[in-house]
Amino acid sequence: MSATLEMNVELVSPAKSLAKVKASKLLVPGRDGYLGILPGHAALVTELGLGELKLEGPSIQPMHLLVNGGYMEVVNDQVIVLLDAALSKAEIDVPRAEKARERATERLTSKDPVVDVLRAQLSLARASARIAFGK
Amino acid sequence: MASLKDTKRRIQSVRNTQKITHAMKLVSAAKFSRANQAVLAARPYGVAFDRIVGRMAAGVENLEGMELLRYTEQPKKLLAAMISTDRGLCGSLNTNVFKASMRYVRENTDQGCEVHFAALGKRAAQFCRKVGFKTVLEREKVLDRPGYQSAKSISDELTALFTSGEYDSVVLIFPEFKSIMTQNPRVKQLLPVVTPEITDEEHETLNFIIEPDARSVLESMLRKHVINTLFRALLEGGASEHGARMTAMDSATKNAKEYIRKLTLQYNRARQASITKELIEIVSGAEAI
Repeated sequence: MSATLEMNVELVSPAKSLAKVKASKLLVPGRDGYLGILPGHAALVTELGLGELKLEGPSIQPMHLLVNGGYMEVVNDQVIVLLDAALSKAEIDVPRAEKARERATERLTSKDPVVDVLRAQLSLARASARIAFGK
Repeated sequence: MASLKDTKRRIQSVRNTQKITHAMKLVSAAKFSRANQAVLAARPYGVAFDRIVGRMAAGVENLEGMELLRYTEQPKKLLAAMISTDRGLCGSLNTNVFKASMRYVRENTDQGCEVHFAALGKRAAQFCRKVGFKTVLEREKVLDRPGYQSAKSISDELTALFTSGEYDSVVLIFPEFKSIMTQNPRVKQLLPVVTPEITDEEHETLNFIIEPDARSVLESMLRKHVINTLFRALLEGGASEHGARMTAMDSATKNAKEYIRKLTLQYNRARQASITKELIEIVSGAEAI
Protein backbone atom coordinates (compact mmCIF):
# COMPACT_ATOMS: atom_id res chain seq x y z
CA MET A 1 0.00 0.00 0.00
CA SER A 2 1.31 3.41 -0.87
CA ALA A 3 1.61 6.01 1.83
CA THR A 4 -0.74 8.55 0.34
CA LEU A 5 -4.06 7.06 -0.55
CA GLU A 6 -6.00 9.24 -2.91
CA MET A 7 -8.88 8.91 -5.28
CA ASN A 8 -9.95 10.95 -8.27
CA VAL A 9 -13.06 12.88 -7.55
CA GLU A 10 -15.12 14.69 -10.14
CA LEU A 11 -17.99 16.93 -9.14
CA VAL A 12 -20.27 17.99 -11.98
CA SER A 13 -23.62 19.71 -12.21
CA PRO A 14 -25.73 20.12 -15.36
CA ALA A 15 -24.58 23.70 -15.72
CA LYS A 16 -20.89 23.25 -15.09
CA SER A 17 -18.03 21.15 -13.89
CA LEU A 18 -17.32 22.04 -10.27
CA ALA A 19 -14.16 20.17 -9.48
CA LYS A 20 -11.83 17.48 -10.75
CA VAL A 21 -9.32 16.76 -8.03
CA LYS A 22 -7.45 14.13 -6.09
CA ALA A 23 -8.88 13.72 -2.64
CA SER A 24 -8.54 11.44 0.35
CA LYS A 25 -11.94 11.78 1.93
CA LEU A 26 -15.42 12.47 0.65
CA LEU A 27 -18.63 12.78 2.60
CA VAL A 28 -21.91 12.87 0.70
CA PRO A 29 -25.56 12.89 1.71
CA GLY A 30 -27.07 9.67 0.41
CA ARG A 31 -30.83 9.48 0.06
CA ASP A 32 -31.04 7.48 3.26
CA GLY A 33 -28.18 9.02 5.20
CA TYR A 34 -24.62 10.20 4.92
CA LEU A 35 -21.95 8.13 3.23
CA GLY A 36 -18.24 8.47 3.74
CA ILE A 37 -16.03 7.48 0.85
CA LEU A 38 -12.35 6.73 1.34
CA PRO A 39 -9.83 5.46 -1.19
CA GLY A 40 -10.28 1.78 -1.90
CA HIS A 41 -14.05 1.87 -1.54
CA ALA A 42 -16.02 -0.90 -3.22
CA ALA A 43 -17.86 -0.10 -6.44
CA LEU A 44 -20.99 1.79 -5.57
CA VAL A 45 -23.82 3.67 -7.20
CA THR A 46 -26.11 5.72 -5.07
CA GLU A 47 -28.72 8.38 -5.19
CA LEU A 48 -28.06 11.56 -3.26
CA GLY A 49 -30.37 13.48 -1.02
CA LEU A 50 -30.33 16.88 0.60
CA GLY A 51 -27.35 17.78 2.75
CA GLU A 52 -23.74 18.79 2.96
CA LEU A 53 -20.96 17.46 0.83
CA LYS A 54 -17.42 17.59 2.16
CA LEU A 55 -14.32 16.89 0.19
CA GLU A 56 -10.84 16.82 1.73
CA GLY A 57 -7.38 15.87 0.66
CA PRO A 58 -3.75 16.67 1.37
CA SER A 59 -3.29 18.54 -1.88
CA ILE A 60 -6.54 20.48 -2.08
CA GLN A 61 -8.50 23.16 -0.34
CA PRO A 62 -11.33 21.42 1.52
CA MET A 63 -14.62 21.85 -0.32
CA HIS A 64 -17.88 22.28 1.43
CA LEU A 65 -21.12 22.39 -0.53
CA LEU A 66 -24.81 22.18 0.10
CA VAL A 67 -26.29 19.75 -2.39
CA ASN A 68 -29.76 18.58 -3.26
CA GLY A 69 -30.23 15.45 -5.28
CA GLY A 70 -28.02 13.68 -7.77
CA TYR A 71 -26.02 10.50 -8.08
CA MET A 72 -22.62 9.22 -7.17
CA GLU A 73 -20.61 6.47 -8.76
CA VAL A 74 -17.49 4.96 -7.25
CA VAL A 75 -15.41 2.58 -9.37
CA ASN A 76 -11.74 1.78 -8.73
CA ASP A 77 -11.09 5.00 -6.87
CA GLN A 78 -12.72 7.03 -9.61
CA VAL A 79 -15.55 8.94 -8.03
CA ILE A 80 -18.07 10.84 -10.08
CA VAL A 81 -20.62 12.91 -8.28
CA LEU A 82 -23.46 14.21 -10.43
CA LEU A 83 -25.15 17.02 -8.61
CA ASP A 84 -28.53 18.46 -9.50
CA ALA A 85 -27.93 21.51 -7.40
CA ALA A 86 -24.92 22.66 -5.45
CA LEU A 87 -24.32 25.82 -3.49
CA SER A 88 -21.23 27.02 -1.70
CA LYS A 89 -21.47 28.96 1.52
CA ALA A 90 -20.91 32.25 -0.26
CA GLU A 91 -23.76 31.63 -2.67
CA ILE A 92 -26.39 31.17 0.00
CA ASP A 93 -28.72 34.04 0.62
CA VAL A 94 -29.75 33.55 4.24
CA PRO A 95 -32.48 36.23 4.39
CA ARG A 96 -34.07 34.76 1.28
CA ALA A 97 -33.92 31.27 2.74
CA GLU A 98 -35.52 32.57 5.93
CA LYS A 99 -38.36 34.07 3.94
CA ALA A 100 -38.79 30.78 2.10
CA ARG A 101 -38.91 28.97 5.42
CA GLU A 102 -41.56 31.34 6.73
CA ARG A 103 -43.67 30.84 3.64
CA ALA A 104 -43.38 27.07 3.84
CA THR A 105 -44.23 27.04 7.54
CA GLU A 106 -47.20 29.25 6.86
CA ARG A 107 -48.47 26.93 4.18
CA LEU A 108 -48.04 23.91 6.43
CA THR A 109 -49.81 25.44 9.40
CA SER A 110 -52.70 26.84 7.40
CA LYS A 111 -55.71 24.58 7.21
CA ASP A 112 -56.19 25.37 3.54
CA PRO A 113 -57.03 22.12 1.71
CA VAL A 114 -55.37 23.22 -1.55
CA VAL A 115 -51.91 23.25 0.06
CA ASP A 116 -49.60 20.70 -1.46
CA VAL A 117 -48.25 19.32 1.79
CA LEU A 118 -45.43 17.32 0.29
CA ARG A 119 -44.19 20.27 -1.70
CA ALA A 120 -44.36 22.57 1.29
CA GLN A 121 -42.48 20.05 3.42
CA LEU A 122 -39.78 19.73 0.80
CA SER A 123 -39.35 23.46 0.46
CA LEU A 124 -39.25 23.76 4.25
CA ALA A 125 -36.51 21.14 4.36
CA ARG A 126 -34.59 22.92 1.63
CA ALA A 127 -34.89 26.31 3.27
CA SER A 128 -33.88 24.98 6.69
CA ALA A 129 -30.85 23.26 5.21
CA ARG A 130 -29.84 26.48 3.46
CA ILE A 131 -30.12 28.47 6.66
CA ALA A 132 -28.22 25.93 8.74
CA PHE A 133 -25.51 25.74 6.11
CA GLY A 134 -25.25 29.44 5.43
CA LYS A 135 -24.82 30.49 9.05
CA MET B 1 -34.92 55.15 -64.87
CA ALA B 2 -35.19 56.26 -61.26
CA SER B 3 -34.44 59.88 -60.64
CA LEU B 4 -31.29 60.98 -58.88
CA LYS B 5 -33.15 61.81 -55.73
CA ASP B 6 -34.88 58.41 -55.62
CA THR B 7 -31.62 56.56 -56.00
CA LYS B 8 -30.06 58.61 -53.28
CA ARG B 9 -32.94 57.83 -50.96
CA ARG B 10 -32.64 54.14 -51.65
CA ILE B 11 -28.93 54.14 -50.91
CA GLN B 12 -29.63 55.76 -47.57
CA SER B 13 -32.34 53.25 -46.77
CA VAL B 14 -30.12 50.28 -47.58
CA ARG B 15 -27.38 51.83 -45.51
CA ASN B 16 -29.72 52.05 -42.52
CA THR B 17 -30.70 48.42 -42.93
CA GLN B 18 -27.06 47.48 -43.08
CA LYS B 19 -26.43 49.24 -39.79
CA ILE B 20 -29.20 47.23 -38.17
CA THR B 21 -28.07 43.88 -39.54
CA HIS B 22 -24.52 44.64 -38.51
CA ALA B 23 -25.60 45.47 -34.97
CA MET B 24 -27.71 42.30 -34.83
CA LYS B 25 -24.74 40.29 -35.90
CA LEU B 26 -22.65 41.69 -33.08
CA VAL B 27 -25.37 41.02 -30.53
CA SER B 28 -25.78 37.47 -31.79
CA ALA B 29 -22.06 36.90 -31.64
CA ALA B 30 -22.03 37.84 -27.97
CA LYS B 31 -25.08 35.70 -27.24
CA PHE B 32 -23.64 32.86 -29.22
CA SER B 33 -20.43 32.74 -27.25
CA ARG B 34 -22.45 32.53 -24.05
CA ALA B 35 -24.71 29.82 -25.44
CA ASN B 36 -21.72 27.89 -26.69
CA GLN B 37 -20.10 28.10 -23.27
CA ALA B 38 -23.25 26.65 -21.77
CA VAL B 39 -23.21 23.74 -24.23
CA LEU B 40 -19.60 23.00 -23.41
CA ALA B 41 -20.13 23.34 -19.67
CA ALA B 42 -22.98 20.84 -19.74
CA ARG B 43 -20.96 18.24 -21.60
CA PRO B 44 -19.01 16.63 -18.69
CA TYR B 45 -22.23 16.03 -16.80
CA GLY B 46 -23.96 14.59 -19.84
CA VAL B 47 -21.11 12.25 -20.68
CA ALA B 48 -20.71 10.98 -17.12
CA PHE B 49 -24.45 10.61 -16.72
CA ASP B 50 -24.89 8.63 -19.93
CA ARG B 51 -22.18 6.23 -18.88
CA ILE B 52 -23.68 5.61 -15.47
CA VAL B 53 -27.18 5.11 -16.86
CA GLY B 54 -25.82 2.72 -19.48
CA ARG B 55 -24.01 0.69 -16.86
CA MET B 56 -26.96 0.65 -14.53
CA ALA B 57 -29.36 -0.44 -17.24
CA ALA B 58 -26.97 -3.19 -18.29
CA GLY B 59 -26.57 -4.25 -14.67
CA VAL B 60 -30.20 -4.42 -13.67
CA GLU B 61 -31.47 -7.89 -14.45
CA ASN B 62 -35.11 -7.31 -14.82
CA LEU B 63 -36.11 -4.25 -16.79
CA GLU B 64 -39.71 -5.40 -17.16
CA GLY B 65 -42.35 -3.03 -16.01
CA MET B 66 -40.22 0.09 -15.94
CA GLU B 67 -42.70 2.61 -17.16
CA LEU B 68 -40.17 4.86 -18.89
CA LEU B 69 -38.92 1.89 -20.90
CA ARG B 70 -42.38 0.79 -22.04
CA TYR B 71 -41.79 -0.13 -25.63
CA THR B 72 -44.74 -0.50 -27.96
CA GLU B 73 -44.27 -2.82 -30.91
CA GLN B 74 -46.69 -0.96 -33.12
CA PRO B 75 -47.06 2.55 -31.85
CA LYS B 76 -50.33 4.25 -32.63
CA LYS B 77 -50.02 7.68 -31.11
CA LEU B 78 -46.80 9.66 -31.26
CA LEU B 79 -45.82 12.93 -29.72
CA ALA B 80 -43.17 15.10 -31.32
CA ALA B 81 -41.64 17.91 -29.30
CA MET B 82 -40.40 20.47 -31.76
CA ILE B 83 -37.87 23.06 -30.67
CA SER B 84 -37.76 26.35 -32.54
CA THR B 85 -36.76 29.93 -31.97
CA ASP B 86 -39.17 32.68 -30.96
CA ARG B 87 -37.94 35.14 -33.52
CA GLY B 88 -37.06 34.91 -37.17
CA LEU B 89 -34.05 36.39 -38.91
CA CYS B 90 -32.02 33.28 -38.39
CA GLY B 91 -31.80 31.91 -41.91
CA SER B 92 -33.23 28.50 -42.60
CA LEU B 93 -32.89 27.22 -39.05
CA ASN B 94 -36.58 26.93 -38.27
CA THR B 95 -37.56 25.96 -41.80
CA ASN B 96 -35.21 22.99 -41.60
CA VAL B 97 -36.74 21.85 -38.34
CA PHE B 98 -40.22 22.25 -39.85
CA LYS B 99 -39.23 20.24 -42.88
CA ALA B 100 -37.86 17.49 -40.65
CA SER B 101 -41.10 17.39 -38.71
CA MET B 102 -43.16 17.30 -41.93
CA ARG B 103 -41.09 14.34 -43.01
CA TYR B 104 -41.56 12.69 -39.62
CA VAL B 105 -45.31 13.16 -39.83
CA ARG B 106 -45.47 11.84 -43.39
CA GLU B 107 -43.42 8.75 -42.61
CA ASN B 108 -45.48 7.89 -39.57
CA THR B 109 -48.92 8.60 -40.93
CA ASP B 110 -48.02 6.18 -43.73
CA GLN B 111 -47.59 3.59 -41.00
CA GLY B 112 -51.01 4.45 -39.66
CA CYS B 113 -49.84 6.47 -36.68
CA GLU B 114 -51.22 9.68 -35.38
CA VAL B 115 -48.68 12.39 -34.61
CA HIS B 116 -49.32 15.23 -32.21
CA PHE B 117 -46.97 18.05 -31.35
CA ALA B 118 -45.51 19.87 -28.42
CA ALA B 119 -44.44 23.24 -29.77
CA LEU B 120 -41.45 24.56 -27.88
CA GLY B 121 -40.92 28.05 -29.26
CA LYS B 122 -43.19 30.63 -30.80
CA ARG B 123 -42.31 29.78 -34.40
CA ALA B 124 -43.08 26.12 -33.86
CA ALA B 125 -46.50 27.02 -32.48
CA GLN B 126 -47.20 29.29 -35.44
CA PHE B 127 -46.09 26.60 -37.84
CA CYS B 128 -48.32 23.96 -36.27
CA ARG B 129 -51.29 26.30 -36.48
CA LYS B 130 -50.57 27.08 -40.11
CA VAL B 131 -50.27 23.51 -41.34
CA GLY B 132 -52.90 22.16 -38.95
CA PHE B 133 -50.81 19.93 -36.70
CA LYS B 134 -52.45 19.33 -33.37
CA THR B 135 -50.48 20.65 -30.41
CA VAL B 136 -50.90 19.43 -26.86
CA LEU B 137 -48.33 21.71 -25.30
CA GLU B 138 -47.05 25.12 -26.28
CA ARG B 139 -44.20 26.97 -24.71
CA GLU B 140 -42.35 30.15 -25.58
CA LYS B 141 -38.92 31.51 -24.79
CA VAL B 142 -37.48 28.05 -24.29
CA LEU B 143 -34.20 28.92 -25.99
CA ASP B 144 -33.73 32.12 -24.06
CA ARG B 145 -30.94 31.06 -21.67
CA PRO B 146 -32.40 27.62 -21.06
CA GLY B 147 -32.20 26.56 -17.44
CA TYR B 148 -32.32 23.13 -15.91
CA GLN B 149 -35.55 24.01 -14.14
CA SER B 150 -37.43 24.89 -17.32
CA ALA B 151 -36.14 21.71 -18.96
CA LYS B 152 -37.42 19.80 -15.95
CA SER B 153 -40.90 21.30 -16.09
CA ILE B 154 -41.28 20.61 -19.82
CA SER B 155 -39.86 17.14 -19.45
CA ASP B 156 -42.21 16.35 -16.55
CA GLU B 157 -45.17 17.22 -18.72
CA LEU B 158 -43.92 15.14 -21.64
CA THR B 159 -43.15 12.23 -19.34
CA ALA B 160 -46.62 12.42 -17.81
CA LEU B 161 -48.19 12.26 -21.27
CA PHE B 162 -46.14 9.16 -21.97
CA THR B 163 -46.64 7.34 -18.68
CA SER B 164 -50.38 7.97 -18.71
CA GLY B 165 -50.42 5.88 -21.86
CA GLU B 166 -51.70 8.72 -23.98
CA TYR B 167 -48.72 8.44 -26.32
CA ASP B 168 -46.65 5.41 -27.25
CA SER B 169 -43.52 7.31 -28.03
CA VAL B 170 -42.11 10.80 -27.65
CA VAL B 171 -39.47 12.23 -29.96
CA LEU B 172 -37.57 15.49 -29.96
CA ILE B 173 -37.03 17.44 -33.16
CA PHE B 174 -34.41 20.11 -32.71
CA PRO B 175 -31.62 21.89 -34.55
CA GLU B 176 -28.45 20.09 -33.62
CA PHE B 177 -25.51 22.41 -33.34
CA LYS B 178 -22.58 21.43 -35.55
CA SER B 179 -20.89 24.74 -36.13
CA ILE B 180 -21.79 28.37 -36.69
CA MET B 181 -22.37 27.55 -40.35
CA THR B 182 -24.25 24.29 -40.01
CA GLN B 183 -27.12 23.25 -37.80
CA ASN B 184 -28.83 20.05 -38.76
CA PRO B 185 -32.35 19.19 -37.75
CA ARG B 186 -32.29 16.05 -35.71
CA VAL B 187 -34.99 13.65 -34.62
CA LYS B 188 -34.14 12.00 -31.33
CA GLN B 189 -36.19 9.53 -29.36
CA LEU B 190 -36.95 10.75 -25.88
CA LEU B 191 -39.38 8.13 -24.64
CA PRO B 192 -39.32 5.20 -24.22
CA VAL B 193 -35.78 5.84 -23.03
CA VAL B 194 -33.06 4.42 -25.20
CA THR B 195 -30.39 3.46 -22.71
CA PRO B 196 -26.88 4.45 -23.76
CA GLU B 197 -24.62 1.67 -25.03
CA ILE B 198 -21.62 0.77 -22.96
CA THR B 199 -18.28 -0.70 -23.97
CA ASP B 200 -17.13 -4.20 -23.04
CA GLU B 201 -14.48 -2.75 -20.82
CA GLU B 202 -17.10 -1.00 -18.77
CA HIS B 203 -19.05 -4.24 -18.61
CA GLU B 204 -16.37 -5.76 -16.46
CA THR B 205 -16.93 -3.38 -13.63
CA LEU B 206 -20.59 -4.17 -13.22
CA ASN B 207 -20.46 -5.47 -9.67
CA PHE B 208 -21.90 -2.57 -7.83
CA ILE B 209 -23.24 -1.96 -4.45
CA ILE B 210 -26.32 0.04 -5.20
CA GLU B 211 -27.99 2.23 -2.63
CA PRO B 212 -30.91 2.14 -1.89
CA ASP B 213 -31.69 -0.50 -4.55
CA ALA B 214 -30.97 -0.92 -8.23
CA ARG B 215 -34.48 -0.65 -9.47
CA SER B 216 -35.48 2.53 -7.73
CA VAL B 217 -32.17 4.19 -8.55
CA LEU B 218 -32.56 3.28 -12.19
CA GLU B 219 -36.14 4.53 -12.25
CA SER B 220 -35.13 7.91 -10.97
CA MET B 221 -32.09 7.97 -13.24
CA LEU B 222 -34.19 7.34 -16.31
CA ARG B 223 -36.46 10.20 -15.36
CA LYS B 224 -33.43 12.42 -15.01
CA HIS B 225 -32.05 11.11 -18.26
CA VAL B 226 -35.11 12.46 -20.05
CA ILE B 227 -34.69 15.86 -18.42
CA ASN B 228 -31.03 15.86 -19.25
CA THR B 229 -31.61 14.95 -22.89
CA LEU B 230 -34.13 17.75 -23.23
CA PHE B 231 -31.87 20.18 -21.41
CA ARG B 232 -29.02 19.47 -23.78
CA ALA B 233 -31.28 19.78 -26.80
CA LEU B 234 -32.39 23.18 -25.52
CA LEU B 235 -28.82 24.30 -25.00
CA GLU B 236 -27.90 23.15 -28.48
CA GLY B 237 -30.97 24.86 -29.87
CA GLY B 238 -29.87 28.07 -28.20
CA ALA B 239 -26.39 27.86 -29.63
CA SER B 240 -27.86 27.01 -33.04
CA GLU B 241 -30.20 29.98 -32.93
CA HIS B 242 -27.50 32.51 -32.23
CA GLY B 243 -25.04 30.84 -34.56
CA ALA B 244 -27.57 30.82 -37.39
CA ARG B 245 -28.58 34.40 -36.73
CA MET B 246 -24.97 35.47 -36.77
CA THR B 247 -24.41 33.85 -40.14
CA ALA B 248 -27.66 35.19 -41.54
CA MET B 249 -26.95 38.73 -40.40
CA ASP B 250 -23.41 38.56 -41.68
CA SER B 251 -24.55 37.63 -45.15
CA ALA B 252 -27.29 40.27 -44.97
CA THR B 253 -24.67 42.88 -44.16
CA LYS B 254 -22.52 41.72 -47.04
CA ASN B 255 -25.50 41.76 -49.33
CA ALA B 256 -26.34 45.30 -48.32
CA LYS B 257 -22.79 46.37 -49.03
CA GLU B 258 -22.95 44.89 -52.50
CA TYR B 259 -26.30 46.52 -53.11
CA ILE B 260 -25.02 49.91 -52.01
CA ARG B 261 -22.14 49.53 -54.43
CA LYS B 262 -24.52 48.85 -57.29
CA LEU B 263 -26.81 51.69 -56.38
CA THR B 264 -23.90 54.11 -56.04
CA LEU B 265 -22.73 53.16 -59.50
CA GLN B 266 -26.21 53.70 -60.85
CA TYR B 267 -26.41 57.02 -59.04
CA ASN B 268 -23.10 58.22 -60.47
CA ARG B 269 -24.07 57.16 -63.96
CA ALA B 270 -27.34 58.97 -63.71
CA ARG B 271 -25.62 62.07 -62.40
CA GLN B 272 -23.07 61.98 -65.22
CA ALA B 273 -25.82 61.46 -67.76
CA SER B 274 -27.70 64.48 -66.52
CA ILE B 275 -24.55 66.64 -66.65
CA THR B 276 -23.84 65.49 -70.19
CA LYS B 277 -27.41 66.20 -71.14
CA GLU B 278 -27.27 69.71 -69.75
CA LEU B 279 -23.99 70.37 -71.55
CA ILE B 280 -25.44 69.20 -74.86
CA GLU B 281 -28.41 71.48 -74.31
CA ILE B 282 -26.18 74.46 -73.62
CA VAL B 283 -23.89 73.74 -76.55
CA SER B 284 -26.66 73.20 -79.00
CA GLY B 285 -28.39 76.32 -77.66
CA ALA B 286 -25.24 78.31 -78.25
CA GLU B 287 -24.86 76.88 -81.76
CA ALA B 288 -28.40 77.85 -82.63
CA ILE B 289 -27.73 81.51 -81.99
